[in-house]
Amino acid sequence: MVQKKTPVGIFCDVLIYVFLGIFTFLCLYPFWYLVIYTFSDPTQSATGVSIWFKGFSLYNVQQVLRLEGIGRALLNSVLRTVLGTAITVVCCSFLGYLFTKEEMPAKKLLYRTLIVTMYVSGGLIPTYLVYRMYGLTNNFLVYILPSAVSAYNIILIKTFIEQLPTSLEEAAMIDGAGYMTIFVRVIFPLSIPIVATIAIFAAVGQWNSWFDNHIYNTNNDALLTLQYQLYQFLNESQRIAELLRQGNIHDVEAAVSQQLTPKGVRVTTTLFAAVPIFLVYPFMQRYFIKGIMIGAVKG
Amino acid sequence: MDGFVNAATVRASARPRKKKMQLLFMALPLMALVILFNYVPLFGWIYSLFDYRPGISLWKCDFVGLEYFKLFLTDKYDMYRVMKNTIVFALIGYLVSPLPMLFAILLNEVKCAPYKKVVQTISTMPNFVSWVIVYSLMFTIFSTDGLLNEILMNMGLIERPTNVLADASAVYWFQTLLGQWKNLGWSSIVYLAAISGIDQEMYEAASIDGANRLQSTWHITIPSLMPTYIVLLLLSIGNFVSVGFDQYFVFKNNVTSVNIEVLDVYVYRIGLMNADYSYGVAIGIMKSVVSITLLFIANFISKKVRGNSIF
Amino acid sequence: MVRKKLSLILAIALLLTAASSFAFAETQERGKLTYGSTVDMDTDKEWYPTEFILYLQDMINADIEFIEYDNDTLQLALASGDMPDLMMVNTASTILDGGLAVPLDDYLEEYGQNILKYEQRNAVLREFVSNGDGKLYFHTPNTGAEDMTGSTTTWNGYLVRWDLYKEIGAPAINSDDEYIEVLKQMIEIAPTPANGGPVYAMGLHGTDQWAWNIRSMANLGYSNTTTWAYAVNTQTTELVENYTNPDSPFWANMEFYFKLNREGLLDPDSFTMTGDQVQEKAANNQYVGSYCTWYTSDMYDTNRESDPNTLAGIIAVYGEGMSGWYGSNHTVGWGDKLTFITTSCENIPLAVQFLDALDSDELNRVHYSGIEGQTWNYVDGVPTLTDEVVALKAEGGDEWSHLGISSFSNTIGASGFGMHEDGYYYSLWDDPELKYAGLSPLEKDYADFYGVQYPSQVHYNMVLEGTAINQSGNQTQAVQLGMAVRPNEIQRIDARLEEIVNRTIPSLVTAADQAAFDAAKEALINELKGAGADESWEWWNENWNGTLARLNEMFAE
Repeated sequence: MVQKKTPVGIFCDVLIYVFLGIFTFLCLYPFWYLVIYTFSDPTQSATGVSIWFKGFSLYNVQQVLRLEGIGRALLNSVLRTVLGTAITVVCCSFLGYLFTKEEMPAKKLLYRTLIVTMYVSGGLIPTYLVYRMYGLTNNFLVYILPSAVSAYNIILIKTFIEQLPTSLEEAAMIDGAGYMTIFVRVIFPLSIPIVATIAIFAAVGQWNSWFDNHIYNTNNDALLTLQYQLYQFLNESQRIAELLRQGNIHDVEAAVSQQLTPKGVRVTTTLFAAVPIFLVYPFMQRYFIKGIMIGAVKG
Repeated sequence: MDGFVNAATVRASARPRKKKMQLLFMALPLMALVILFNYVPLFGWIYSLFDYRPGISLWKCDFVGLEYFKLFLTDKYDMYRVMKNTIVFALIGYLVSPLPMLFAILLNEVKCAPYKKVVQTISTMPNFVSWVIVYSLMFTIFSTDGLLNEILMNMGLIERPTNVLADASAVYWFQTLLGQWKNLGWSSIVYLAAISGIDQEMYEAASIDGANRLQSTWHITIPSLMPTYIVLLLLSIGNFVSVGFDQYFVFKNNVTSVNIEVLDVYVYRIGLMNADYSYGVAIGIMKSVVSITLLFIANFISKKVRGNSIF
Repeated sequence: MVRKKLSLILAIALLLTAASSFAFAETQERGKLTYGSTVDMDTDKEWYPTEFILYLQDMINADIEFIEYDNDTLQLALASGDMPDLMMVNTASTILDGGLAVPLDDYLEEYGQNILKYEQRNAVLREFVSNGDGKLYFHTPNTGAEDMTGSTTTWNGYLVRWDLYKEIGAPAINSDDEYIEVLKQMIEIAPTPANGGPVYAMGLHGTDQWAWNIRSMANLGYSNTTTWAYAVNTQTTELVENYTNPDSPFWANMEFYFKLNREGLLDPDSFTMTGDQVQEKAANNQYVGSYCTWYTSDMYDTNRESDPNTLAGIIAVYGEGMSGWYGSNHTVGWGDKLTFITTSCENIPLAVQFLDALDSDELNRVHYSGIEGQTWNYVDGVPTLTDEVVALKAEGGDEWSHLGISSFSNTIGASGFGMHEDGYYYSLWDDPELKYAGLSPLEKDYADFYGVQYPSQVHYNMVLEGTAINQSGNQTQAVQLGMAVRPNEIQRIDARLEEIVNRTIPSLVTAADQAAFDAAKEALINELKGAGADESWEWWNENWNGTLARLNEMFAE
């Protein structure tokens, strides 16, 4: 694409650079704000920070780390993210591969059965009752099993595999390799871009999820996750509001005394919850951009 | 895209029946998970036919038949407003759907590689944080003693603080902006990928013919991106009545609720907060039915128009 | 810290000796009970378990594990039958219809002698809360009079920042308009907050309708029901239409906030703030008034950290005719805190013993006043609190919290004004001199200023003179307990009315002028009527009055 630089062209370039610059700034700024607020000296930041640190202090971080159970919660969050992502990737990529096989019996029926799950839900109580019957309440597995097979991921993988050149697979087939061997030896390595894509999807989903913790493992401190702790933290007052809405006027005094949360700790917790994804993301980026480009384009 | 060889047909060489069954057997354990976790809980749909209260077994609850479905369809208080909000957000969604494509085109015009990379990486970041956190961030910035008001008032631009988070008339555009802020960078990745797949010779030929950049974009880039755009648009049709929950839920307050309450948020309020459980389930079922119908229609159209079904 | 540890060790030592001395008689193994509710039992606090909980556990020789639910998880527990041994709920109907509660009757003779003492409460529970079979399924807390003479302070009243109020000459306030005038004057002399930001008269956690209702409701002598659409007159237990009656407490409040906003005195964030955001601004001295002292308590606490004798804190002053939120005689306890033994319970006798302990003289004294020999002693036959515990209460902090005094109010059987067999109240704190000794510097200054022994005595004296009222005639809890369950249609209407009001409050409060306010008021009332307000009122009015009449009949007997 060789273009001669005309004044209009240069003007356009400047306009584009500026526009993208502003948008990027807007995307970055809120996170930057978290960083400068968290690491500023609390006595100075109270009057507001905007562009740069006011003093420097680890006070906020230290305070948050002192919150009881946060280490445990962090560990659980990391565990569910790693295990949950791994199991989703394996299940979805294998099933996605199977669905590329036209000769599979009842393929259309099974595939549609899968697609429909994106649009239906049994509701909170039935789902709870069923999971409880499976023994998944008060159980770490509830974080990773239900999301192991995801229709959306399978669509992405299937369309990706369908556009791979067939020659390699056929060569392997002639050598007498079975489906499993072909998947492991040929298809999976070729699918790394899309696998990386769904891995980041799954990891983000796992890391950000709190509702399953709230519903299934709510009274089990050993299974608390970081996002749930954060959510509770941001919502202390909502819980009180709920108590009050039920007319429990007597509880208020007891409840209010516990929500004394300085803004610094709130911001720091938010930072804690957001940061790990940003650390992982740049490493995955180069793989999954390629993945989503081929996977989703075809649709 | 159209250029891809349909590999599946090539692969479908004659195989022994045993091998075919092997495929099914490998798929079944995974499909069993789907049945166990997604279909078994659907027994709960039966609650919509009863006056169900948690704690009372179903056979002790009154059977009401399709009462709740009728109730929703004839409700004149909430239904109209909620559906209006849902449809407004869905239509705005279609209206802004070309933006990721435009963003990708602009980004592609950037020739400075490090700048491009930085813009691309950072613009995808908001996509990775949950809406709960986004709300927390936005409150810090937009509340009356938030950062924005601080700056505006220090500059003497305003007298009294403004608060866009508590402004019903701002709901539609503000939520749209937030949605774009969070998703634009991420959604544009697909188009960036598609752009890199466009044959460079076409641009060179156009350049020789004296086309300027705008003309190249208009006559080459955009037409090349159209198929991708259409596919994504078709896929989104199934989501017409489920415009999302988290975003609207976290930004809902007494002031904004009149315009921000979309169907999913309404179902939550009815089913859990008002403890009108069966009614909530009934609305959920209707939503599912509409979604699936729309999906199949979209698929049908896709088959007719593109000769290629979505699924 | 050291003292706290010492007292803990002491407590454990005492426990051990107590346990070993009973070792021969008590061969029974220690049992275990689980108790679930939506109340936060503070089990994650450093000072937990409290002396009170330890004492209770010892009394019934069982460990008690508390489970905390929220709305969602409580429903899931009920739906799945995954219930603890005991549970607390706020309405009985689901429990009764689902057959989830164990009737206590077969166990009362053997294990429940103390429960049987509360004849009137039990009679009402049998009559109204049994699905008609006349059995006793539930236990309610706090039966008896509540703070008859007013607790140390009241949370309602004309709430002002005391130092500024004194500075402007402590003018009398007898109406909302005069209150606004005072708030305005206080703002004018208010110092700039340490962390910056504007000063307002008040800011509300307006995401919750509670905040928009409670001020006038309490000041005018009303209390809430299960919906904000109706309020109860606490003098007569008469039900009023809070939304559609233009003279209701709701409209008094709207008028007040509208005027406040017109003067630019209302924090514009009031529509979106949550409780902790209000506290945050209070701690930063951004308010000179309040709608409820709990939500601005951080102001005083924070100021006190830098200046122990500061007077910068929110406290109530009273106008003529004003109601104080105290003095109800709960003849059947708090009707929205129903504890029952679940059908999942495997040791019903033990659970009954737990309920029985809640109604015992022994435990009630421990709950309100602490353990004999530890926090109080008989001095010449009169139970008397020790000086140490009085000082400890004034000081507050973990060591005080660890005693667990008055920490179990949502479950304990009697109110503090129940009578111990020794002839004294369970609560030994209702002594004006004790109250005075336990005052904070701010409260002491207030008391000295008005020449009373504790702040709310100002109000109580007005009640005695007949120039103010409290809740002594209030039977709200009993009526609510006895009311039938709302039919689905009525519940749906009520929820809709609340939602309509929720989203109209902002436009009412921010109305441009009086004419606009009046127009908006009329429009809202009409909209509510169109949404079924009359139908709902018909049901409520009939059921409320019917229940009240039946109750009065029972009490007359």
